[in-house]
Amino acid sequence: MAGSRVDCKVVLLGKAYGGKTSLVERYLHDRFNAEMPYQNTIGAAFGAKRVEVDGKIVTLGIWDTAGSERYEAMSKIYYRGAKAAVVCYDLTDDGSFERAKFWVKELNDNEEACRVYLCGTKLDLVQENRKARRVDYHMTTDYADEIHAEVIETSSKTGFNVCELFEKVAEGFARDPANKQTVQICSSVPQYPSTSLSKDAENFQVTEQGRSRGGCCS
Amino acid sequence: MSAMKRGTRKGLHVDQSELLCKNGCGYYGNPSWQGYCSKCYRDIVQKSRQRQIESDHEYAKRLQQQYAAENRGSPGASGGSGSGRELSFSKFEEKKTHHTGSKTRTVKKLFKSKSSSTVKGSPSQDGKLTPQASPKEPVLSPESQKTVNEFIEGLRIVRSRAFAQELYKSAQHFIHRMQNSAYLPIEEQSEMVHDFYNSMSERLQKHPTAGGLTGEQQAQLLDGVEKHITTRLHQLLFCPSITDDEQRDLKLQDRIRSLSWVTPQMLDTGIKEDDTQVQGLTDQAIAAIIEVGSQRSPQEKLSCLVRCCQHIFELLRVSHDAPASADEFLPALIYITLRANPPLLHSNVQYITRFANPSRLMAGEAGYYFTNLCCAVAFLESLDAQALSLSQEEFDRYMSGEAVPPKPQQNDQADGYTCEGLILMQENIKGLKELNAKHDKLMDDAKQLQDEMKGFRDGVIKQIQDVLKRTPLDIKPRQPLQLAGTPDSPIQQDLLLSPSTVGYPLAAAAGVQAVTLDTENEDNLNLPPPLLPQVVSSQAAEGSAS
Repeated sequence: MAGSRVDCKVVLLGKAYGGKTSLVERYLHDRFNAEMPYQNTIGAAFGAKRVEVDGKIVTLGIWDTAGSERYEAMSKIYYRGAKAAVVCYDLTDDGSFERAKFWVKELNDNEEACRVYLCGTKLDLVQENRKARRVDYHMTTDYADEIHAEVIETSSKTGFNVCELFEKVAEGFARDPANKQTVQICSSVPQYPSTSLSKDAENFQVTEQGRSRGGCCS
Repeated sequence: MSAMKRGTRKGLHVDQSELLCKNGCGYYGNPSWQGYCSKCYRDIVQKSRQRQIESDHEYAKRLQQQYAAENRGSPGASGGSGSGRELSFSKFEEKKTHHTGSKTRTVKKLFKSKSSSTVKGSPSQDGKLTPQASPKEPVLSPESQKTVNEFIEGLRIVRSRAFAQELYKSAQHFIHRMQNSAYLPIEEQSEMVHDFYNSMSERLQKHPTAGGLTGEQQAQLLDGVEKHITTRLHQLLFCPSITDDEQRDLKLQDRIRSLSWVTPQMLDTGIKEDDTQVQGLTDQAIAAIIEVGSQRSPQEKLSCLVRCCQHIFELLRVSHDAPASADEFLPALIYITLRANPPLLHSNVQYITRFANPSRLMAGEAGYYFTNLCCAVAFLESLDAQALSLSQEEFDRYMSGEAVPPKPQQNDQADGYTCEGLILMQENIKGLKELNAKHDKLMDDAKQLQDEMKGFRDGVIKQIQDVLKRTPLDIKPRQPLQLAGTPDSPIQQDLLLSPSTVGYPLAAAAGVQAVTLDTENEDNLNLPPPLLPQVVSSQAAEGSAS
């Protein structure tokens, strides 16, 4: 069974058709909607990906969830034991941000150990037409500060900030002292202090870049 | 010794030939492997072990038969209960065969093993045992024996033999401990199992001789431990009598049965039911989810579930022409669960939750699908009118069986009262009708064509006859024409001869034309051509005669 060993469970929450699936598709297979033949994968609901943080391998298990309100009562079952939650909202739909708030509240009530990442999707649509934006960036950052979460705006269509988002998730997991043990156990790669340092620096660079890019376009 | 001496005296190759594997495979043998090479020796050992398993199996079977014979011989209280159990088993089996013809074998195997383990279980439990039936060591069912062997095989990756033995012993010890604590509440038993997993994994990490193991190997060993323990303890831990699992199983099963009217459209699955490929995949998924119940260890159960989910993804891909997301997957899984109504579903979910390694359930792919299954069960248990976007009144009527939901609009040819098979039959009948109509039309066309051909032929013949009547064949110019024609116009001769091969009416017609031409020619000029008609005219005469 491939991917049966996963260190960090990441749940994706968000309104149906809010771009969760595209986000996973882009991150795991680096493609968007109909631009590639679909024969290679059967579904994008679950995916595991190895990410290197500080010279350690962290395997992210990404769980897509059904966003329909019909299954809202069951969402508890999904995020049980999750180490991180990416709460998605559609930048062109203010209703989706209200839903996101609902999930954040649920998470804070039920899963304290779960880190929350707010993820605005469909950034490309907003960039094309500034009037399409329905969710104000500063409003989201204020809200994020309030709930101790991070905000990142992504576009699955162009791939912008998608990898950065999951790198952030992996870093947050690996650098959390509570998870120290799990990470060390599961990293099968021998650690060489010298290389791990340089990789650390590299990683930092990537995220810094991502962050600055994220800032300029918002 | 003597070989060694001889070897040193006579040179190297004599020595070598004597040191080779007894099997003659070309590798070196070793006295500690009874003179075989490592590979041959392992094969031999494995063969003997296999024989041992088989004889064990036979022994278990014999015991079982003995037990059955005794029960039949003395129809006491135990005999009565035994037959009652058998009855219910066969009922289950019937249900399963109904769902999956191909799965009967595994199902049978499961029940066989169950009944064989009741043989070994009953003496110790209720005291009124048959002394000759209890052997010195508890007889393991073939499944258990198999996992024991697999476990031992798995332990081979541990380099230190002592450590491997220690692991095996502690697993064995734990199994005995669990067997003696069956009276504890199930939560405590579950905790004990989890604690054991944890202590095992800690040991693997901390033990000095285990340092050489990679993370992968450790995980593999832990899997082995889990499988070994759960398979051996399946009897005790699965649907134990101290819980209300059994009632809840029945309740869930009834609930799902009463929901059988729910259509995939109500769940927004977007499954194209009328596609035959989708139907095939649906059946495969249903078979896989039912098979979950026939496996013993959580891993095996989960791998069945993973297979089921992969079929679901495949069928969603076929239905949507795009890979499915969770938004479509969960409804589809709910629908499959609804259709399959797997027996002992609640017990299976509980068993996996309680006794699978928690890390597996929390994160991995199997864990994801299992979570989805839990959601599906929770959804089905709490399903109400709102969730299906029906009015409460409608929902109640469907639930009570008073009314049957109408078939969705897009599927208008079949009415909603029919089951899958009937719909398929109706479709087939429709297809046959269409074919029939096509066939009839083809036959009509063919008949028409035949008539046309006949008419054409008659027409042609009539034409010829008319022509012949108008210009009766005269044989008078024959001789002069024949004499004059041959040297003069071979081309015309060819022209006239070739139609004759095509068919007589044409040839006749051509002949007639030629004749008329000839006569004209004859009138105007005294030319040789008139010869040609004669050659044909004899044929034409034949044709008309026939």
